[in-house]
Amino acid sequence: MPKKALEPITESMYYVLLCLHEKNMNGSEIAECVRALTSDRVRLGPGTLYSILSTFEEENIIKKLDAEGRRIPYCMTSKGEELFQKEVQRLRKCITDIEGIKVIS
Amino acid sequence: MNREKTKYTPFGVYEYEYMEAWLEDMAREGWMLKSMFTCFATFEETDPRELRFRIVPNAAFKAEDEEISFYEENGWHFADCSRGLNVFYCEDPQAPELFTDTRSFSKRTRNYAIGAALSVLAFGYMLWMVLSSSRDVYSEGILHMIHEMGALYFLSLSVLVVTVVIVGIRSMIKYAQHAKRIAREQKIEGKRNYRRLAAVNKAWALVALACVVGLIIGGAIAAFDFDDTPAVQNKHHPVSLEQVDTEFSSAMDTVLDMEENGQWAESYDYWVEEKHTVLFSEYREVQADYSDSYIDADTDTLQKHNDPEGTPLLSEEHYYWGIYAKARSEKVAERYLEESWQSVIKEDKVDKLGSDEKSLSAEGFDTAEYLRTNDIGYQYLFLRRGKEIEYICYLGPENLEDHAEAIMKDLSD
Repeated sequence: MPKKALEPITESMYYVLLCLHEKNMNGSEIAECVRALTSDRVRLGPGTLYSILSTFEEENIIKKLDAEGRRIPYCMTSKGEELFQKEVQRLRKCITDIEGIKVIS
Repeated sequence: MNREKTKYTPFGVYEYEYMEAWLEDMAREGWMLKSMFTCFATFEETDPRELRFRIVPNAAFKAEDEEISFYEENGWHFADCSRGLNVFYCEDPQAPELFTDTRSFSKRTRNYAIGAALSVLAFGYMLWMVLSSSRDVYSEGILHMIHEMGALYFLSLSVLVVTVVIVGIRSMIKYAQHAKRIAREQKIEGKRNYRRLAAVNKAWALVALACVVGLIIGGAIAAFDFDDTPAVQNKHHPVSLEQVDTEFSSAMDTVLDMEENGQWAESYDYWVEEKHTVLFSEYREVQADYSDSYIDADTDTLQKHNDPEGTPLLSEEHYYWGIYAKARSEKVAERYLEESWQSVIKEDKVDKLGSDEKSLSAEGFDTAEYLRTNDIGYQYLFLRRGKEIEYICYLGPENLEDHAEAIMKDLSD
C-alpha cells in the first residue's frame, strides 16, 4: 500500500495547521506564529515550511490567496479543517490515555 | 575585477553534506562560490567569510522564485544551481536551518531521485541504441570484441562500464540513506571528512576520463584500419551463378529480362553490410532464389508474352547464395569463415539430418571445405585464401564439388 503524504502528521505540520486554523497567514507569519506559540521549541526552517505548504496545497489541505506584494497568504480548506480536528482528537486521546494508564497501574 | 578560479566539484549528486563542507572551507579561505556548471564550480576571490552553505535538491532543477523568496526572508541567499542542486548560503549564525524537519528534506531528495532516475533511464536507452547498432560485434563473444575493435577499445569500454556501475551503486546507497533520513541525522562533524571522499571521487573521474579517451582512440584505430578502399556498389561478384549452373543462370536472365530494371545479382559494399562493418574492406553478396511457385508465376508472365503453351524454365527448386569478402586480416578471415561454417553445421536441418563434409585439396587456398546436407541436398563451399573469403550455398542439380576447381581458379584470377 503506498505511503500517504499526511500519515502521520508531523509536529511541524500540526503547528502549521494550528496557526492557519486561527487565521490566514503567509509563510513568514506562520513561522513566527509557531515560534511564539511553542516558545522557540519548534522552529520551522524555510525549506521545511515551504515543503509543508507545498504538500498541503497538493493535498488540498490549504489554498493560496491573492498575493500581497511578494508574500502569499494561505487559508485552510474544509478538508484541512477536517484533518486538523482529527489530529486534535487524536492528541486529546493520547492525553486521556495517560490517565488510563495511571488507573491501570 | 577579483580573481576567479574554476574547480572540479568532486562530489556525487547525493553527497550534499560533503559539498556543503567544501564550499564553507573555500569561503573561509577567501573564495566565494560564483557559479556552477555540471561538475565544475567557479569561485571569486573575496575576503574570508564564515558562511553556512546548504544544498537543496530540486527535481525541476532550479528552485522556484517563490521558494527563493522564502529563503531570502530568512537570511538565506541563492548562489547558483547545477544538476538540480540549488546552493544557498547564509552569513547570519542565528538564521534557522533551511530544513528543521528531516522528513521534509527526505521528501525533496526522493522527488529529485525520481527525476534523476528518469534521466538515467533516458541516457541508458540512448547508450543501448548506440551499442545495439554494433551489437553483432559483441554477439560472438569476447574474442570477437577484442580482435575487431582492438584491445584498447575493449579494455576502455570494460573499465568504463565497471566504473559507471560502481559509482551508480554508491549513488543509490547514498540516496537510500537520505530517503531514510539517516544521512541528515548524522553528526555534523561527520561531513568534515570530505577530503578523503573528494580524493576518491577525483580518482574515479580520472579513470572514467581515461576510458573515454581510450574508447575514442581505440575506436579510431579500429575504424580506420583498412587494407583496401571500400568496394563500390554493383561491382561484379568474382564467382557468379553462371560458373555453377548455366541453366539456372540462363533461366534467371530470361525472367529478369521480362522485369523492368530487373537485377538478380545484388551486391553490397561494406557500409551496407551492417553486421561486419569493421571486419571487411570489401564485401559482396549475391542471391538468387527461384522456387517452383515463383517460376510458375514468371512462367505465366513469359507465356503471356511468348508461347501460351510454354513449359516452366526450371524443373525443380533452385537456390544460390554467394558471399565474397576481403577481411581486415588473415586472422579475421579465418575466424569469420570458421564461425560461418559452424553456424551452418548447427542449422536445424544439418544438425538433425546430418551431412557429408569433406576437405578439398586446393593449391594456394588456406581453407577449402565442402558440405552437402542429407535432406534435399543443400551444398556449401567454404574457401579462404589469405584474407579473401568466398562461400557459396547452392541447391540444384549440379554438383558443387565438381565445380570447385573452376571456382577456385576464377577466384584466383
